[in-house]
Amino acid sequence: MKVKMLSRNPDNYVRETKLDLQRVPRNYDPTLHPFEVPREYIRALNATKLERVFAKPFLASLDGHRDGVNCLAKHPKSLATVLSGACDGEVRIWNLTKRKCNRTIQAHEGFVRGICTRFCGTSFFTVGDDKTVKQWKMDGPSYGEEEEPLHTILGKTVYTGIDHHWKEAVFATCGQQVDIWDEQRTSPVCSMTWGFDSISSVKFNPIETFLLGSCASDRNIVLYDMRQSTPLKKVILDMRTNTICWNPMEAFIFTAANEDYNLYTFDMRALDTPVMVHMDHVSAVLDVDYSPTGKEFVSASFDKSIRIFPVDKSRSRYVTTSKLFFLFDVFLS
Amino acid sequence: METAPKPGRDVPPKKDRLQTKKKKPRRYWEEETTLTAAGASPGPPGSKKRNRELRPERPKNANITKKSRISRKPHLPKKPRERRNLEPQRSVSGAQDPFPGPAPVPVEVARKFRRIDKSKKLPHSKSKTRSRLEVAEAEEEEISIKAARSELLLAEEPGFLEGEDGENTAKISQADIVEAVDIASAAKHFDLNLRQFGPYRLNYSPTGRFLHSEALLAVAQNRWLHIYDNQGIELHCIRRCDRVTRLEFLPFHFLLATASETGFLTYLDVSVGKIVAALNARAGRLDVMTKNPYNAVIHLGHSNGIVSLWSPAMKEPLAKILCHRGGVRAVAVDSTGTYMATSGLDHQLKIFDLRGTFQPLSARTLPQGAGHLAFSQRGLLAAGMGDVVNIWAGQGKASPPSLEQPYLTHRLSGHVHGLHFCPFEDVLGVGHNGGITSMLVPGAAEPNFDGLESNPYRSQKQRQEWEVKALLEKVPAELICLDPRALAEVDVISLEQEKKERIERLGYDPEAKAPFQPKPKQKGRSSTASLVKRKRKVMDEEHRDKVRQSLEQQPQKKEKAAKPLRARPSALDRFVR
Repeated sequence: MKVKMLSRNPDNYVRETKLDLQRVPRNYDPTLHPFEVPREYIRALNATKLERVFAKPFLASLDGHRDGVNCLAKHPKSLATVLSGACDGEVRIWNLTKRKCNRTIQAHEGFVRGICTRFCGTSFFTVGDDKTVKQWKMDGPSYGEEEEPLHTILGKTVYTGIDHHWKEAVFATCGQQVDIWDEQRTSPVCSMTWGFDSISSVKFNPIETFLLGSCASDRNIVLYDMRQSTPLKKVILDMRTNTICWNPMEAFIFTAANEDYNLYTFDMRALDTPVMVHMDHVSAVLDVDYSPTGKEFVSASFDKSIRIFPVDKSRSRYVTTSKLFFLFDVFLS
Repeated sequence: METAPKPGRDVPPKKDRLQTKKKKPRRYWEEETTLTAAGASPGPPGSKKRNRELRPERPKNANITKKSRISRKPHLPKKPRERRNLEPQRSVSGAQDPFPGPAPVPVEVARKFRRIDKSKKLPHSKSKTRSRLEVAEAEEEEISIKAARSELLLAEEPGFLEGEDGENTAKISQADIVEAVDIASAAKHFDLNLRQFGPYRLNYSPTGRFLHSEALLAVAQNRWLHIYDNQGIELHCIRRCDRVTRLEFLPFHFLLATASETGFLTYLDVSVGKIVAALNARAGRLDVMTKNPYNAVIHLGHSNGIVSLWSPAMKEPLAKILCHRGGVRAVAVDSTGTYMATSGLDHQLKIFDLRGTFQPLSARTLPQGAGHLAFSQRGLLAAGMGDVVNIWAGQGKASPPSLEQPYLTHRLSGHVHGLHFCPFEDVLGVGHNGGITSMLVPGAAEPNFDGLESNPYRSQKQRQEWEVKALLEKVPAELICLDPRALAEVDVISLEQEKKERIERLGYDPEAKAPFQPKPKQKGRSSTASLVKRKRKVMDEEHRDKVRQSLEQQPQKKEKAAKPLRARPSALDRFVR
C-alpha cells in the first residue's frame, strides 16, 4: 500500500526569531475565500463611512470683520497670508498659521469691491465704491508713519473688480469698461469695451500673460488681448457668469461660474462648445478658483456649499456644506 | 461665439500635414525589411498615444447654438496591447528556443479562478454596458491565467492512500496506516477513553486547533444555552434559547444558529449579543441541522423526509427538498456548497446537487442507517453507522464522492455520536460512547491554507488582527441568500418594476414608440391625401407583421391544445374548443 499523510514542517510556517517577519503563505483558491462579494461590499461601505467620519474639513474661522466679507486675495509668495476686503471698506491681512489678523486698514468708504496682490508680493491694490483705486504696501507702516496708500487713483465711475498682471507692472480694472492701467500713471493706458453693459469681473491669464477675460452682465464672457488693446472673442451663455478663473497649468483653459447652477470649462481657441460642463450645484455658482496643480478647482455657490471638481469630470468629487453663511468668494492655494 | 473684427491680418492656412510626410530614417537596430519578416528581434516599443484628456472630438458643424453646449465625454485612449512575435528569436549563437511562447497553463486550474457566469446575458443592454462587460471578461481571463500560474508556488501536496494490485483500501486498518506513516502524523491518531460521562460530540475550530486557543465556547446545556471562555468561566447564559439540540456557527456573519426541541430556529449575533431572528420551522422537534459553508444557509432535516433551507432574512424556508421516504437523520453539505449528502430512516444515503437542479445525483442503500454525516475539505464523505465509520472519496476535488466502494472504514469501541473533519489536517475526529477517537484519513484536507483567512500557525498578534478585521467585515444577516454573489448582479427585476410603476404613474409608456408622423415634404408631396396614404402604408406594414407573428405562434398553440386530447374520446369532445 502507498500512503502519504499531509504533514507540515513547522519550521516552514513559524518564524525563526522574534526579529523576523511572520510568514503568511497565500492560496488564492476561491473556495478558501467564501462570501467575496458581501465582504467586499461591507468593506467599501465601512471605508466610505470612516472617510466621512474622519473628514473634518472645517479648521478655523478668522473673526474680526464687522461687516460682510466681500472679496479675498492670496499672497503670491507667502502661503500663510490672506487678504480680505469687507463691505464697510475695511481690509484685513491675516496669518493663516497663527489664525490671527496682522493688519487692519480702513481702505475705502463703502464696499471694497475688489482686491488683488502684485506679483512680487510687496504691495496690493483695492478698488471700492468710492470710485478709487488704491495701492498699499504689504508690510505695515514703520514706526512713526501713518497708514497711507502708496498711490491713489480717482476714477469717474465705480470700479467693480481688479486684477494684476502676472509679470509686468500693469493692472486691469473693470466697471463700465475694462481699463488697463500702468502703475505709474493716473489714467488708463487703454480702455476696451464690447457691448453696452457693465462688467463684473476681470482676470489675467497666468501663462499667456497678455490675455484677459471678463464677465459682463449681458451674459457674455469676453476675452481681450492686451498687446493689441482690443477685445478678441466673445461667448454668450444662457445666464450671467459671475466669475471666471484661468487654469494655471493649461494656457487656454478657463472655467466660468454661471448663474444657471453650472460651471463651464472652455478652451479659448474653440468657444463654440465648452470642454466640460460641471453640474452639481443646486443654486447659482458665485466663485471658482483653480488648484495650483491645474487638475481640480473649487467652487462656491449660493446654496451654502463648496464643491471640488476634477477638471475632466462633470461631477464633483467632494462637497462641504454649512448651515450658517453664504459664500461669495473662495480660493485654493 | 463671435470673433472681434480684425483690422486686416490673414493668417495663411496650415498645410495639410498628411501630404508632406517625411520618410523616417533607418535606425541601426532595424534590419532590412526582408530580414524583419523572417523574425528578427522586435524593435523599440511603439509610441503610445498621448493622453487626450481635455481635447474631445470636435463636432463637425461649426454653427452650433447654445443647445448643444453639453459636450460628450472625452475619448479615452485604448491601452496598446503588445503583440510579441511568437516565432523563435534569433540569438548570436544561432540556437533556437525549443519551447517558444509562454508556458502552457492547465485549463481546469484557470477555470477555477473565473467568477463571471458567461451564460447570463443582460436583456436590453446598451452597447456601452456590453463593451464594459467584454472588457471585464477579458481582464478576468488574463487574471485567471496568472492565478493558475501562481499555483506553482503552493508548497504542500495533498495526501493519498492507494492499495497495491487491486487491494481494497477499505480493508486497510488504522493501525497499518499508523505504522506506514511518519511519526508526526502517527501522533495525530489517538483514542481518548472518557467513560465517565455520556456520549461525546466534538467540533474543531476553523483553523484546525483542537478546541483551544479560541476565545469562546457555546454549549447547549440541559435547559439553556451557555457561553464559556477558554478557561471554562461561564460568560453568558442565554435563556431565550431553551432546550437546544443543535448549534452551528456562521463565522463570517458572527451568527450562532440554534435548533431547539420547541421547533424554533434562533439566530444569535455573537458580536453584538442580540437575537437576530427566531424562526418557527413549524415541523415539530428540530434534531437535524447543518450549515452550508458556501452561502451560510441552514439546512434542517425533518421527520417527513424534507430538508428545508433557512435564512434569517425570511420567515419561510428558502427551499424545501424532499429527500427520503422516512425521516431525515443526518445532513451534510460540502465546502463548495455544490453537494448535499442526506441519510434517512429508509436506510438510504443520497447525494443531491445543490447548485443546479436540487436533484439526487447518486443513492446507496446502507445496511444500517447513517446517523451522522460529515464532508471534508477535499470532498470526502464520512458516515457514522452504529459503531462503524465509513468514508467515501470522489475522483478529484470537484466531483461528488462515489458511493460504490468505501475508501476507508473503522470500527469504534462505542456508538458514534459526532463526526467532524479537522480543517487542514488529514484527521477525522469521532465522538462516541467511550470517548473520542481521532482517525487518520489521508487526502482529506486542503494542503495549502491561506495565511490571511485561517492560519493554524498564527501568533497571538496575528489572531488579534484577524479578529478585528473579521469584525469590521462582518456580513449583516440580511444578505444571506441562496446565491452569495447576488449583490454583484444587475438588478433586472427592480428595473422592470420601476418601469411598470412609471407607466402607471404617468399613464403612458414614455419609452414606447411614438405613433408614426409623416414628414412634411415639399413640392406638393405633402397634401392631405398623400399624408393619409403614407400613414396607411405604415399601418398596413405593422398589421402584416403582427399577422405573420400570430401565424407563427398558431402551430405552437395547436400542439399545446392537442396534448390534453390523449385521454379516451368521449361524446362531449365536440364541445371542446
